[in-house]
Amino acid sequence: MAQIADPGAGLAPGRVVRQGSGVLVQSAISIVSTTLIAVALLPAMLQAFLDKPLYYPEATFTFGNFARLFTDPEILQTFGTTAVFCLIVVSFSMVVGTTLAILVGRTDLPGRGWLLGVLLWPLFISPQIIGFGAILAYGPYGLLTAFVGDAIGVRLPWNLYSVFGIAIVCGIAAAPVTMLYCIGAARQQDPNHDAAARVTGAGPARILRRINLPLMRPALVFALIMNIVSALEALAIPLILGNPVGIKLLTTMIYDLSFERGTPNYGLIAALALMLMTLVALLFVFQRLVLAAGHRFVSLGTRAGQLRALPLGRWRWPVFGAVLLYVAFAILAILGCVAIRSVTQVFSPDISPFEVLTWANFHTIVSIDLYVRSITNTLILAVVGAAAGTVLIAAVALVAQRSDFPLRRAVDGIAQLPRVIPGFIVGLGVFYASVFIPGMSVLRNTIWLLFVAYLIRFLSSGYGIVSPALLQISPDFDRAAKSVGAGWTSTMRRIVLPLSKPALLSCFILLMILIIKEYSSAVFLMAPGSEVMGATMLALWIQGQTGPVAALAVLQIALTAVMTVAAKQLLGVKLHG
Amino acid sequence: MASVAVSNLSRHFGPVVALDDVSFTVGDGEFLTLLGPSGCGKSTTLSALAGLDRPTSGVIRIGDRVLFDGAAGVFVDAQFRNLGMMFQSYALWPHMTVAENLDFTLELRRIRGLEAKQRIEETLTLVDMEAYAARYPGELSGGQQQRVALARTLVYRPEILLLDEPLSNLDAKLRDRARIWLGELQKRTGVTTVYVTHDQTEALALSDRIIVMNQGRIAQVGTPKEIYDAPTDVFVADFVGASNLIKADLTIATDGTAQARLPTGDLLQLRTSLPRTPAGPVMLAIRPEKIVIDGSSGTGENRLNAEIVSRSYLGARNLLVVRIGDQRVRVETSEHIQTPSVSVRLPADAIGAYPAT
Repeated sequence: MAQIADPGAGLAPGRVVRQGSGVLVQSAISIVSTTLIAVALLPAMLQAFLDKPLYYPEATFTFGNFARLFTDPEILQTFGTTAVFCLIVVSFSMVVGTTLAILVGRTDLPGRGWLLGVLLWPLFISPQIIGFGAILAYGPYGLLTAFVGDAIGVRLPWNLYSVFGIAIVCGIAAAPVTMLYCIGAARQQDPNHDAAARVTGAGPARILRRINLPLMRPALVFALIMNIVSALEALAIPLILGNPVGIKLLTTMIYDLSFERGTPNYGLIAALALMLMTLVALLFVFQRLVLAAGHRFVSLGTRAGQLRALPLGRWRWPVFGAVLLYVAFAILAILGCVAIRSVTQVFSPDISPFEVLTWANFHTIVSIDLYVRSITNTLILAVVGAAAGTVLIAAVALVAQRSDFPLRRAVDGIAQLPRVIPGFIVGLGVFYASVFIPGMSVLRNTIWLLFVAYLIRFLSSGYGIVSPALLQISPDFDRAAKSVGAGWTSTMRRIVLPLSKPALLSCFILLMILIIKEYSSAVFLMAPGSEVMGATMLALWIQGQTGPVAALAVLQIALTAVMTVAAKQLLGVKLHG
Repeated sequence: MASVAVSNLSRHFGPVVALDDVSFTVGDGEFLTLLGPSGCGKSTTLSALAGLDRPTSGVIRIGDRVLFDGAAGVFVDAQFRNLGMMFQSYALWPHMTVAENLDFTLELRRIRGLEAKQRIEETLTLVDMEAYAARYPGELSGGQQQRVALARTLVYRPEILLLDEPLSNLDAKLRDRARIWLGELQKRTGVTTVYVTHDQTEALALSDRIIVMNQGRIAQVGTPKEIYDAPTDVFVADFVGASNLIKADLTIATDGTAQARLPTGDLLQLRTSLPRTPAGPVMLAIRPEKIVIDGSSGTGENRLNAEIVSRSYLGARNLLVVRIGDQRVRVETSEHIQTPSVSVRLPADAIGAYPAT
């Protein structure tokens, strides 16, 4: 659509502008997406400056909520704990993730093909499942705690219920994210960079240090920031590991405040949430600044030749062993214990699991209403939410990337915004909105409130797949369609969308997986009748229903696995790499 | 078919002036080429004609329709202009077959059924691609894609054909063939054509008229022969045919004869009918193939001694770089020169003189 570039021109007399109807469609898409984000953010933002709940008519403006943030000794102490926690999570995830990415992506490590798949597993699994597994394996009564304790003669070789313990478990959950961002950067490097360095006489270690790592800097910075964000918004693992022993982070504090008896202190919660978001937003500004000179990291010219794996030499097998150990202890042990728990009556290092084998847990989750509802609700939301989400994301991406819409930059920004909004804040925002916005209350206690939250929550995730894919499609295709007489909507529908089909499929599958494992935005929106698996597991674990929860977890993993495999085999969709 | 009239067209991108007050016309059925280096404004002009970009000011008329009038706020979108544009990248939609690529343009004009089928067949026959109707663009060679791209712009019988560097993605040999074919096709269809290129050979071979553009302005308009033989400024002389540019000092005698003094002190006679160039420092321009190598060294009109700096054998001819004083001059000749120095003659008729910038 050609736009009126000069607003003054619109006022000139005798104006005969012939334009297509694209502007209308573009405006509609922009309004819908902006409204969605506003729904998630505005009520929370207003609430932060009010002394009483938003829906009280007598609520007045105040800075008191923020003042309390910086004076309340309990909150201040939480800031400190959160900072230490984040530092450990991020360091662990960055070091482990980057190392694994380079080992699997760039070296001649044995079995790197299947190792990559296994190492990325935690990505597709709810963090609370990793938390459950960690307790079952490494908690005070955990299987491995007992084995290692017996072996070295110490009763408790480690304390999982500590800031350090919680942080390591979160780090294990976060490491695949780092890996995912870095492996792409490691693999997509121009082989000529390596070749040029080799020709000038550099060895593998030097190539890695002086060429590969610096070129991965944008990915590293991005991974660092995503790690900080995910550490800041981690709720499930700190909740199940930290709460029993009174270790509080910002997120668990907000959670506790929200589920207090009586009227929760919404103002304080919103102020905390707003601060968390500001922190995250600052990180992204920082990222933009750091990566301003993007061209320095872009491979120039044509790619030719095969990327040669850096030889590990005599370290090849020892390194392989170390990676296997990590897989065994950080992934298999944790998931294994969840699997064992799901098929046993009791779980204890003193009792052989084979003596207490049972299908009772699985029987429970398919016969008790609450569990059945959680499963069906989750599946409905996964299919409907992913489909609607993909449509929304495609529409937004087309306006942002493929139109002359005057506000397309803003639309692009809006689509990126949910990335910086922690999941439970989206949930909180939608909850506020349902209380505050007339008409939205009909959605309360139904899964459609969750549906709205998911649309907002995963807008950026899907946009992250669709938008780069659109950039790969030459704008000449659109220009050609326009020149032969097609308007914006037909150009998008007939040319651009068919060409982006693989990306849209990937987006759909990714959204399904994300919705199945989602819990953080759901915890505030769930009501009797609208339970979903992720949040049900969390609630029931806290109540001590570990058996059925483990069975639900296994079901969730199985669902995700089936979908990932189906996506790969049937549709040829790649979710990473 | 229709004629095109562009008047006072300008395009500003912020402080950058991409197109500065450009006016020209294209006659009905004419083949007009916009020639110039990258960034000269030729593609901006084409985008403005196509309606893919909105200029800052000016007027564009095609036939009796006003498609753009900056002052009146008139702007007709590309989709309503009924022009055909062929892109440098061809931009064939890869998810549609050759026939579907053509058919989409007819569908937009609600031409369906038998007529659509006939038109597609006709047009594909015109470009010798009728056997490939069911193929996808990805299954075609570069040359075939180029033909299909042209077919797609012709199938709905646009008023004007706009071609944006259509041959630049072909390899050298194919490019020569495609150029001849394109010229013939345009003659046959008689469609008014605006062609954008940076390649002077294409421009000279195909065009009825050429507009040479430089830095957003028109440098010269003329037939290929006028442009080549009588460039009106240093830029055109240099860009079309890559003239040698030699610094000199121009003096004009009372009888109108002009002489140029080189920094070496040598005097060159110039033709009397010089364009209006005032006396003083000038830039002389002479094409490499116009310089005559004269084996017998000696003196005479416009004869200079030159030292050979390098020789390149180009097959059909030899390119010598010679030094006259401080200036390097390219000379093309069919002879094989082995001597370290040579006597060259610069015919007065072949020398252009332009005010030094």
